[in-house]
Amino acid sequence: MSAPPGQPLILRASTESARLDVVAEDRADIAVDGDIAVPSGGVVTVATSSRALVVRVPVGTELVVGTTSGRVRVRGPAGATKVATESGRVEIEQAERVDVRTQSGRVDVGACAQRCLVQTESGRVTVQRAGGLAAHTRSGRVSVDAAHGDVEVRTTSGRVNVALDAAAVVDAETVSGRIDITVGEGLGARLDEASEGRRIDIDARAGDDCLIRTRAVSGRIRVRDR
Amino acid sequence: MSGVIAFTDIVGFTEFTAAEGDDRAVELLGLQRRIVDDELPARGRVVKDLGDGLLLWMDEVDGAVETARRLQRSFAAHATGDLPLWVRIGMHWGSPVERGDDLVGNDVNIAARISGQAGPGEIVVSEAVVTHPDLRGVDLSVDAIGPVLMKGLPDAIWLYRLA
Repeated sequence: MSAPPGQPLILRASTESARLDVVAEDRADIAVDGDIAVPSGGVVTVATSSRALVVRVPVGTELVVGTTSGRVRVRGPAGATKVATESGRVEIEQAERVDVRTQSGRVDVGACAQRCLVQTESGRVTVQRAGGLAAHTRSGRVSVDAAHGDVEVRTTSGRVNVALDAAAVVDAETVSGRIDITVGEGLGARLDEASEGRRIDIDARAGDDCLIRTRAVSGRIRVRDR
Repeated sequence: MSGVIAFTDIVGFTEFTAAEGDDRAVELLGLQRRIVDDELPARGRVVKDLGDGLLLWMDEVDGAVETARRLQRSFAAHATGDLPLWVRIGMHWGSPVERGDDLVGNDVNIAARISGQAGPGEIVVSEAVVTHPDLRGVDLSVDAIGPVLMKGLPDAIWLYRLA
């Protein structure tokens, strides 16, 4: 059974230590380890403790996953994808929106069409491409190859690298971490008035494309051209 | 006795203290406390100081939600100059046990764990808050985070981010 036309399906999954593989593909129903799952109100709920699962879902399915230490891998174009984990590794190939929260798990996001929120204590995070970004880290390193929308970065002591590929408003705050912002070709950047004189090195072409707001206690923020 | 148990926590406080010294740290704590004292509803109280955070109690769930939102707005407004005030808030509806002025019990532990799931400037609440009858018909503007398994708690708890 599939969702009514126009209504996206939702997959809700929880695991303790089990690996969860989600494959978003051209299909109309959801299959859990090969068995077709019957959605209730458009929602399919699966739970496992230690047995690995493979779930096949239609393109654009919303995913909500909670795990303690299980590895979560999402392949194919998923819808809004939310993962909360303590230490499990998270890999998301392609999603409409992303919200990943981890204590120490490593997070890799391929392409996120809209806003990508990543929150980590000590886990390392890489994002290849995001429509917008909110990254919060205590000590984990965060690296974003291409942000196409507004960016909010808050780091306690972790190092953050963000490359801007489009005009954006950037809010960058650090206690003792380092933030490097790279402005894409053809774009200019300027500091907002309140940020002038703060701990920031700006070596990028002046312009109004990217407005940079910063706050740093003892860390460093650097803005430069690509 | 049932109500909302809330934890606030200043993110990065340890690093801030190491970088800026004890006097500035005390200044930051004082600022958090003043804002909370100003914003708490009449039927709410600060249960205790927890170093860089506070344990709060509020009798009414709708008032608690509004208070949390006001707190975050006020924290953001008071973070001036190089003084960051990144506070995360976690809230849970439950029935703790009173021990003198203190509150203890499983629901208090759950609320503490929930605050650990919030990012700086965020308010994260449990399903018990979102589905409370007093909030029926209220547009809460919440975003589901998911079924979260938290340390020391046997079952996953659905958490939501208040917009």
